[in-house]
Amino acid sequence: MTGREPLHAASQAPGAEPEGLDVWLRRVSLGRQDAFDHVYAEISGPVYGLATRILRDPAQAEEVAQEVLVEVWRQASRFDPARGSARAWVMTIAHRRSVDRVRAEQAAADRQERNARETAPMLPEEDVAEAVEGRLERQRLRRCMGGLTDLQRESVTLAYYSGYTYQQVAELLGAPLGTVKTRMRDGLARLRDCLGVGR
Amino acid sequence: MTEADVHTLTGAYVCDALGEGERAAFEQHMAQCPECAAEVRELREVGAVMADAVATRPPASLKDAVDARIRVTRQDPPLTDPHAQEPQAAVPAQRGSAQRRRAAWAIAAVLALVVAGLGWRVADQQNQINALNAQSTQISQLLAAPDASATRVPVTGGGTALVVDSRSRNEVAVSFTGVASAPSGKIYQLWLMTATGAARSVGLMESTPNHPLLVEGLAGETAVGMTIEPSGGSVKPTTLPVMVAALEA
Repeated sequence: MTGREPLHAASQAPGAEPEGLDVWLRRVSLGRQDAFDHVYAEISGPVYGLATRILRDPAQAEEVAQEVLVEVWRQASRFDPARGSARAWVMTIAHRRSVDRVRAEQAAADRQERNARETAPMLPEEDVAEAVEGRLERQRLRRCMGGLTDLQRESVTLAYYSGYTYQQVAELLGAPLGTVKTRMRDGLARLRDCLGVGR
Repeated sequence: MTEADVHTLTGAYVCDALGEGERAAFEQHMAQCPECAAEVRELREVGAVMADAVATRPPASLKDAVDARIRVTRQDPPLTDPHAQEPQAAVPAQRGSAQRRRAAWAIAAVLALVVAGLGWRVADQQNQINALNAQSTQISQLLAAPDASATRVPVTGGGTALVVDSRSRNEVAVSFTGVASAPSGKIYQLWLMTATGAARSVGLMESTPNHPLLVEGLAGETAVGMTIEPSGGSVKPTTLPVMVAALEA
């Protein structure tokens, strides 16, 4: 991906990225399609990759990615740098939309749940071959994931990458609900500190 | 749910691992809990790295489809602060933006409650009362808008819906009378629809509530409609609407 910000940009104060995604989003909010091309180049890989990871079905992932990217266009003016980085804003939308789709599918038929259940306890390493960008992030993330307890890592990855509710995660791991909630929180907090983001 | 319990939900919230009701309840709590909002903001940056780590080059068809869509998609206007006119000249700018952020959080929380639909069965009545109070204030403002316009339409299967909308506020309120609960295993889903037939989901509910639903952030949609969908909702309407009301252009 060209023009990608170096990872350390994320550790700067929110909104401080020079010519970063937040600046481009502001241009998008003025209706500039050329600015959207730039934003698309930056975020379509992670958006599509995340949707594929959660949904497993490339056709559905493409539909959801399309919805997310159109929403970024539509809602660009609603992005508030005071509330986090532009990348986090986009990925929050992408994650929510992907998970909502998974839940809708689950409600319609339990097919997705069974598929995900078979492959659920996966760590990001397994997607290395299909990912084409972000090698540095992956290495850092892998290293930081290695610093979590098993229960923290499994709770975070099952929820984030497989789209499970914490009740489903607790069921899968045979752990109490309260413990799983807490592990999601302190697991993410430890990743935050290890990655040096969000402060 | 105690304060401490709610606070531990930040991780699950960031992972979208909460059910719809808990999500709405947490968002409402977060509107009053700056520490929770700050923690959510920080943890979301981890999510961004996790998403980057699974980046995959999308098919070229995605770009074509997105470009085609944005050419015909109107952008939402920025959220504006209803209190922006209050005298603040002597206050440092920093504070104005903090207030605006708080207002935005409060609006987001109310919207989340309304939009999450009222499949919400949290035993925390005070939260519910607070939310309804905030919403009823907003609905009063909608009703008082100079361009507010009302229409009553029938709902298939019995009952009616009263729809009040205002272009200047980009809001629509819907109030149901005499509408039965959705059939077992199904759910009512509310949509905003454009002239081209595109529909955007704005809420799910098992039964229509006895208070008005408020939807903010209209973006040029020309109708509000309701369909019966499998529980959990659908991405697009999959059945004929049981209710459709045109919005005043």
